[in-house]
Amino acid sequence: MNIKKYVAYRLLSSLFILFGLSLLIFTLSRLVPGDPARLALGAMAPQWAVDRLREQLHLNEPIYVQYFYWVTNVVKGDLGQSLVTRRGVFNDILEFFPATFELVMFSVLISSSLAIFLGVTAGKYANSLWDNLVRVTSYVGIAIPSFVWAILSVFIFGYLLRWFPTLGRLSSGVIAPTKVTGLLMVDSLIAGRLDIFVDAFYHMILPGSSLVLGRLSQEARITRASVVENLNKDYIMAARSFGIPERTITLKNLLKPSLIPTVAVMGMDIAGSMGGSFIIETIFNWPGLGRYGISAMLSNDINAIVGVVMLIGIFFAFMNIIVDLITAYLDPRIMMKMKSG
Amino acid sequence: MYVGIVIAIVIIAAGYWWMTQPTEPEPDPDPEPEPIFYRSTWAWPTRIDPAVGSDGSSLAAIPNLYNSLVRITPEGVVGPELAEGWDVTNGGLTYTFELREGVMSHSGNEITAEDVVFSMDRLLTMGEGLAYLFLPYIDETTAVDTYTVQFDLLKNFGPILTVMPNFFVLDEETVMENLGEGEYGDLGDYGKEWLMTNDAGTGPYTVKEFLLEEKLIMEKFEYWGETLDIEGFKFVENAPDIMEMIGTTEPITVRTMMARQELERTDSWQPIENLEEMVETEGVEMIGEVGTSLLNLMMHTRKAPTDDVHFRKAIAYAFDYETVVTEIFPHTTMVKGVVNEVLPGYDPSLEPYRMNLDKAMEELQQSEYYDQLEDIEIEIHWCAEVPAEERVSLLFMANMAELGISVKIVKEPWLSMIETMADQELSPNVVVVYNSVHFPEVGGDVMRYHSESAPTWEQNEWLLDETLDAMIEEALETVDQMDRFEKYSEIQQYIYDLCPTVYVLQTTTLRGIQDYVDYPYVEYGEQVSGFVYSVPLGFRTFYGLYTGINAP
Repeated sequence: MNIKKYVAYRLLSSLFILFGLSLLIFTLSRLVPGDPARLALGAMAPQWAVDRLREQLHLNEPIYVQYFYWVTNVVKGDLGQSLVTRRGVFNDILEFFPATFELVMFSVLISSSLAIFLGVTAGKYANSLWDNLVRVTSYVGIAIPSFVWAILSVFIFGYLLRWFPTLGRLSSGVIAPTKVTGLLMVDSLIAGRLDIFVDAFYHMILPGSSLVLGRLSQEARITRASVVENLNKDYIMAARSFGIPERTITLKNLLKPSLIPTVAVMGMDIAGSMGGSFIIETIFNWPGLGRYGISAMLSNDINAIVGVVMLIGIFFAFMNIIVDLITAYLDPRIMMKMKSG
Repeated sequence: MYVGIVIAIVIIAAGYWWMTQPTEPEPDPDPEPEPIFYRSTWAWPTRIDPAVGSDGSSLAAIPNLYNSLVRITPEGVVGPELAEGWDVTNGGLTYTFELREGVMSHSGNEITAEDVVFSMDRLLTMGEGLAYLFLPYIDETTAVDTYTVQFDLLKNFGPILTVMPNFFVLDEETVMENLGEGEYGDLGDYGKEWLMTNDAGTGPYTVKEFLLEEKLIMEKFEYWGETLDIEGFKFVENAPDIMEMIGTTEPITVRTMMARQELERTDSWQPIENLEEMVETEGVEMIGEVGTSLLNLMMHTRKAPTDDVHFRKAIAYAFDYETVVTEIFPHTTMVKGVVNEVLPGYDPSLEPYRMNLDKAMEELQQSEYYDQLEDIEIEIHWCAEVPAEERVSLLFMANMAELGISVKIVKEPWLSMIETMADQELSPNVVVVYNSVHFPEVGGDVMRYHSESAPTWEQNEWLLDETLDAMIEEALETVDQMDRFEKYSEIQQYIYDLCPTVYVLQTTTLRGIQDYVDYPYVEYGEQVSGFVYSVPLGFRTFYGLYTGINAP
């Protein structure tokens, strides 16, 4: 089996997982108490209006029939209508996904580079003052949830020091550039608006770093443990005995195998952030998918709930495949196994 | 690599600093004034389609974007808006409105009777939002001529002029240009999707940008004040150029923005501690708006033991109202009757239920359940999303213990609560719920006691009382205001005797506001006839309530 076949196989198996996920979330969303149509229209809405909406949503049909309608529409690219925004869920996702994606990618950039740096240096100089410092701060980072970091960062950098903005993606009065990708920093560069780019960047710092801290600590610790383990391997000692410079050993021989467990965790962290950033998005009023999902759940917006969960599921499935590919790249044994099928 | 990142950050920071440095001032003979912002936080979502929105933030936004035929004036009476005048004929079954000429929509189209017909037909066809206020009564809307529109009623509805400010007029042409696919035949989606993020109104502000899940940005519609040259309809000095409704109620975020003067007014969901801190440290003023909502303990009148009127009265006399308004919800006030005292038609003659354990015991002894108290446990449900309600429930439990009544407290999510309250069997003995009025009169409050409301969260009392139903219907159909108010008094007395509800408090909406914003109508603690300004009734939160924004 070559890589392409492997990817095709994984994509196919992901489809089964997504099918299972869709069955689960679809059924759960329909079992939540409260009539979605009545909730959407209000307690005083006339019964005929509620009945009409129930009919549109096929809520009077058995769940398997509703699911059939849903699947049929999904194939056509229609995820149904949101009861909150009264627009197509697909359109909503297109609108809200870029904000979350940009935030997550920003935090990934920071966390991955810092986690590798901290993990490798701490592992390399195990039991040194630096190592102890990294380990202790990592414990703190892991123990404190991201929303606490968010509140602390708003308080310190927003309220006390007033260094960074604490709300939304752009300042009041700044009009977003023409939408191309939905990623404000990218779109502002495409539009040649450095001022908007900087404004968007500044708005990204607090929510992005709040999202990063727990993850960064976890990844740094895993990298450190892996580095410490690999440092004692024979091939490193052999490299040293050949007189290869320490810097080269670190970059060429130590780093690559040490990153394997980190990459696996990073992949899941990234996918988890897509759905798990809702608290950060709420605190910073970040108009992303997490906030949309929460508002959907509070309003029993059944189509939006299913849409958001499925998107996160797809993201998880893709990240799994990407992680496998990166792991195979980092570990020739896995690559060979993959190729041999 | 890391050095590169640091350098990149330094370059960006330096660029930002450089760009934000004030340039050398050059003499400008006609300087462009800085736009005046008015930014406030709100509980989301906000729906700006007048045929869809019906919650607090929606009804704060909509009257800024649209006009009604009539409005409630600050004096509390019905006054003209898009309509210059009106006639009531045919025994109160026909209302004819004369429209102002030359009122232009934000798209530049003149508003005529056809637009009014279109707007009412759209509202009634969709059946959403505030349509329930008109659906039982409006039979037909007709454009008599370009500037005359006539409403024929199915039956009399006394408070119709009071309700009319909740009907907003859309520019038909703009809506028709933006129809999407939908369930309304040739009318597609009736413009619903487009109107969720755009407006087709004539109001003093127009949508500049609506970032769903973030904020609604509105800008001044300059033409408006020039067209309607009427007292009370002009932009005041320093009226904001840009208004932002920001969709967050997160306390730390709100406080930070107030401290940085990035926000002019807070939402009404801020914890009192947060507001008090802002007042103390940020120079923010706290304002209280007398609300029309009541916090109620709704007692199930068809379920033992609360099906016994003496048992209910015992509960009403045993409850400690004073502690609620002083300790749990400070700054609120006790209810003096069975409806909010600011509502027109309120009957002040009823002696309110207050804590009196002797009276409570007297009533309990008259109850058929007095000898079975040991075997009785009543259940009280509170809404999981409103933590303070737990304290009310605990207080209730402690109060009832003094009478020897056992109480089981149940925390329930709102969605589940709605489901429970819709079922007569499942509904608990007591539920803690906020009730708002539907229109600014006693009728807009007591209509929730009608049997039609029983299977909804609005009425856990399950009165199902035909006599009361008939009284409510008769009062609402009474055109003469004085007669109607007399009937409201009888209804209040009837409900008072039944004692189906423990009226815990009447709300005061507290907000923080920057001291550079003029907000003349309320100072905290001052009793104001508040119904004109109550959010659920559709008033101009931004435009009409303050005279302007001064320089910070």
